[in-house]
Amino acid sequence: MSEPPGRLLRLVTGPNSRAVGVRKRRFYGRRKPLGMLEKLLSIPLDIFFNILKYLGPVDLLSLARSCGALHEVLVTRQMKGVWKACLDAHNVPPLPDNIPINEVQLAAMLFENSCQACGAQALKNHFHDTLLVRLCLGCLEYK
Amino acid sequence: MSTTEDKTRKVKLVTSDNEEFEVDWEVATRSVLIKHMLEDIGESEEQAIPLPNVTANVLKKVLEWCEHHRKDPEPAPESSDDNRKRTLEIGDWDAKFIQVDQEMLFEIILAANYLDIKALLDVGCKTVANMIKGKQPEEIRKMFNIVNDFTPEEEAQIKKENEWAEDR
Repeated sequence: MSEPPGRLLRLVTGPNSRAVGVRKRRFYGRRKPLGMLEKLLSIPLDIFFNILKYLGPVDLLSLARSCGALHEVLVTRQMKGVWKACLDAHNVPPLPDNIPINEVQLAAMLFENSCQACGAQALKNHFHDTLLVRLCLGCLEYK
Repeated sequence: MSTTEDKTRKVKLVTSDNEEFEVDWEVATRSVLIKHMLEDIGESEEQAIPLPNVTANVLKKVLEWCEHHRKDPEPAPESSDDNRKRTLEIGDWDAKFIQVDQEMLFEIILAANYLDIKALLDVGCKTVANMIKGKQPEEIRKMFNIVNDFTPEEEAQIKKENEWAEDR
């Protein structure tokens, strides 16, 4: 993790941080009951981080895809540190500055196994060198 | 700080719903918050410690944990590079202890955080992480009773793009 945790925490948990703003917006405008998610999201963010640090890249991706509120909390630049730490824990070197993808995209490319163009499942690793995505052989050859 | 006197000393705790608990000093001071409060008020007083953020049924459960772990050594300060070896293992007793409904699980996590009982907070967080680990989004929704508010198109799109939410 490159940013010191204290700074990261302030960035994400401060009263004016984006995550807090996002949460407020979503919670007030919602008619459907959130069920247990309300509990999951009502815990302080530092505890939420504490939970996230035990999860692998695929788990983070699944969690982010479970609903809009979690997506907006997890897939934001403020959470970059969480994704970085997670990738680091799985022995992925940090992204160089000149690579135009983010940590979430890197996690999806490296740790999932479906074709990122057509969704075909259970691929071996065929990566597109310049697009930096994982493709099935069909899509790879089609370009 | 642990004099022989401390072993026999009792501590009174009062919950938000006004229930009073009397516990051994050694049990109560598993909580760093309570420990510091006791240091602040000094040895002389028989003063009850108010815990306005914890209800009786949650404190009961937390104290059950503290009682079982009363003899545990102080946890080693976390080294900064234990990032890579984050294990989800929980001791047998703890695993049984934390088999509670989700409502109680989150209450315990919140209480452990407020009372500053790191080991118990870790047990709670690991339990939630275990519930998430290895699950597909649909399974996570079921587990936490989350409503899927994505349209099928949105769902496909976020899966494909993985852009930062603020850029989408």
